[in-house]
Amino acid sequence: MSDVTVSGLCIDVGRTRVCDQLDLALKPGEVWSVIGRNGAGKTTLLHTLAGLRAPQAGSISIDGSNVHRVSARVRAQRVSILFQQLDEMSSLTGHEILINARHPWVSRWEGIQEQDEEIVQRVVHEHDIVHLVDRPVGILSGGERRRIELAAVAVQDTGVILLDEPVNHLDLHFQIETLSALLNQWRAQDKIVMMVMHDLNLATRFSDQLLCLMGHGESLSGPTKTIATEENFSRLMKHPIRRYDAHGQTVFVPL
Amino acid sequence: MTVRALSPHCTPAAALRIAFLALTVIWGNGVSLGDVLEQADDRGSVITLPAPAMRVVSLAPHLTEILFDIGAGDRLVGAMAFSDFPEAARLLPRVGNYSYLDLELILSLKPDLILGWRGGNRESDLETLGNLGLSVFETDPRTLEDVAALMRRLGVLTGHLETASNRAQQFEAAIHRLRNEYGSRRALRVFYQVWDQPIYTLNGNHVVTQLIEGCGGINVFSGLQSVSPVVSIEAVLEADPEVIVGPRESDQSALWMSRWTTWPTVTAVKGEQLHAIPADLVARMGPRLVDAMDAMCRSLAAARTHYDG
Amino acid sequence: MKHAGKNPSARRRATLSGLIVLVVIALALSLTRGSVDLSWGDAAAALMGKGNALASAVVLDLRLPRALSALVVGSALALAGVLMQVLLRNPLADPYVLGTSGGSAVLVLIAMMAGAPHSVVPVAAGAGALISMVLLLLLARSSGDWSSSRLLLTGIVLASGWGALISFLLSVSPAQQIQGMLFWLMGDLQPVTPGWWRSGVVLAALMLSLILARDLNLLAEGDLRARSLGLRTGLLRLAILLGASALTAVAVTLAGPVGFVGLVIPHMMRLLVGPDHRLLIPSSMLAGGALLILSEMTARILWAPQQLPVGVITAFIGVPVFLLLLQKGASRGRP
Repeated sequence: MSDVTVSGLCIDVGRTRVCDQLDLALKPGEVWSVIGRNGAGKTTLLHTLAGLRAPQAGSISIDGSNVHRVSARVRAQRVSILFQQLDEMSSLTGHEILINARHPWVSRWEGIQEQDEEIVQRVVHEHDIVHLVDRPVGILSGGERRRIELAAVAVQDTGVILLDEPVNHLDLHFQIETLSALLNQWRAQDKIVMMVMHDLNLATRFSDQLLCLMGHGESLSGPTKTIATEENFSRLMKHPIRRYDAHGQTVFVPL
Repeated sequence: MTVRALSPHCTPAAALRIAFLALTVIWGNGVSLGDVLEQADDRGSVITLPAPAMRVVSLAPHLTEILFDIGAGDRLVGAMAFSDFPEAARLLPRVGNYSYLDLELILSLKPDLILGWRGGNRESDLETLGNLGLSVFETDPRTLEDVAALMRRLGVLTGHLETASNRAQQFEAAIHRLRNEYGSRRALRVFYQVWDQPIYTLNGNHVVTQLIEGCGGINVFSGLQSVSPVVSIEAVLEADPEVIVGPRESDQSALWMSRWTTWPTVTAVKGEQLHAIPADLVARMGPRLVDAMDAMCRSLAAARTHYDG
Repeated sequence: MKHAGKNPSARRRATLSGLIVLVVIALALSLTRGSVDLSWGDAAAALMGKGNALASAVVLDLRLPRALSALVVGSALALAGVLMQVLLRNPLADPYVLGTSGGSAVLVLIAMMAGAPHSVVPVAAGAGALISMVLLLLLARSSGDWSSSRLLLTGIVLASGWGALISFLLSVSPAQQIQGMLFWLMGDLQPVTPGWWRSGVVLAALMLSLILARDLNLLAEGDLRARSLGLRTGLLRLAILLGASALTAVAVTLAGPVGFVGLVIPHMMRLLVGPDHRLLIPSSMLAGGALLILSEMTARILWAPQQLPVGVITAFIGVPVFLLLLQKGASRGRP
């Protein structure tokens, strides 16, 4: 069980202030979505939480250790991140990428063990990508590649999981099915998930906590039920947004 | 070094012959007579042979020419590329060129003497041959006198001392004659052109300057620092030579001459004193330098006739 | 589901064994072929010290040192190529792209112009390579940006600078020396044994690269991703840069800037054995060594008694083989 504590976090990108004195507490089993306009700094926030980028001020603790002070290896055992976009140069196969994702757990001198291979095999079956992993990812479609990347995150097996636009390139079917299955599994394992989502509706549908980056350092966070209002979203997207309830579902639609 | 004045008309009796041999051997910096032949080469290393060399590899065309000239041509078992004079030299196995020596081939010829040329062979190759246990005699002749001495030294090493001394004497006498006849006339300004594009010339350290001066000329570029510098057309215009001497390659009419006709301000062009001398004669530090000097002197004499009437 | 159908470590062992056999065959061929043709028996006898004088001299003093040098140079360049390609994440990277060989060349040409004895040439080459590497590090440090693209750009500019100096030196050199300079620039094996320190550097680099092989696999996925998996990429990339430069310096001191090996062997081996550096590194080194041994032999034989520069032959042999593999690779689906 992990927990994440963010205190007084200030992040600037160039002259844009992403967040100012942000305080957050992420509890095990929670699924967060970070939403906001383009350029609000959602990706930057995620990278900072992953320890890949230093903030201007403030600290981030995972399981009581400052994520920027702990060794890279230990950090990689505690938090994993799915990037928005990976580069094209890849003659690596899906299997090779998945094996690489075990790196934080593999001792330098002993190398890949049988249990690492077992974990990879299990994840491959659970994610239904058996037919994809033996080909170089460069020739896969965007959606197929994304599924392998999600599997890699699962293989890394960390307590905190950060996903930057996880459903990019995925078909609607996969978006709903794959993501919800994964999130349910991770919730059951008491992991903490924070996703950057482009789509307001997917964000409200899948997460129980929301973090809205309003711009100029202002932010709004809390349970989805409380935060997801017409007023907040309209202010967030700088465009009037109407809420509709039908068939037990809530959707937000721009006017 | 002065030109020795031993007359070639001595008739050797037995005793005179021995004295003659002793004199020339001592003069040639060698110790001989007896079983061991010793010569210092131009590095300062002393080459010792138990007997006159019977299997010689020549690593420069001029060394091949000298060997044939002193009567030791039959001792050659291998030669550098471009060893094309005399005709017999063309039949020798080629052991390399200016970029590479075929060390294996040289080894397989089992030579007892290798003649190297510091100006044309790679130092590393000569060193490797030495390390393989072969006798390498490195030469570096720069002047006409060096060539004569080289003929004698190679005569010692090949046991052809008498012929070598004769030939060297004839060489020196011919040079001397040419100098006497042409050397003291009015000095002409001469530009010697080795190559056309770009224009290469030779400075005072090259033997061609000796030839020019011996024929009563001045090398306008003798003062330049590099031995074979590239000069611009402007530099030639400024030097304004009275005679331009350049290469005649086999039987090709010299193209370089026609290029100069576009520069009529040059005295040599105006006076039509562009002369061609076979390039091999000048380029090789061998016995044919006499022929080169002869041709040079005739050219300058013709020029002198034109200018002075 | 088993990956690749068969036991991967058995396949690995088979590939490496095959390549070792290739190297041995190449060595054997190069010891028996040349201006003096020797039989296998003669060569073997010479190696054991029992041959006739000519065979011993030819095999032990002439061919063996060159073959060993070729092995060291070929393997060093191949490994340097692998490292450069993962460091710069650019398939066009070769060991010289960051300017190392340019620096060597400038110092060597200066030494030749000054008429220094030929024993100075390897020293000048090594010094030039190291100076170039230090310059690169200083330039990269001052800009603060160690990213692959920035490093590549800095290196290319440095290499161009060296190139300008080389052209200048060639144009003002006396005619007699130009030929020697040109031949060095085309890549030509010196007639010396590789020696202990050079072989030591290459072996040390091999060991270090194998230890870091999995890290290299990660680095190939990109800097950010590698860091997210716990890799300290800054340190690793510095180590790769130093290792590749040292290897290039060793190769250049033995043979001048022999081209093609460092660029194409890693590609070729990646097509044949895949991108896993645990296998890619040793196979590339073996393949590079074999290629250079065969090239050296061909350079001696093709135009005898004239010898061609080794760099010319590596290209003539390597290009058609590489094209063939590219065709086959394309049909199999690996880019």
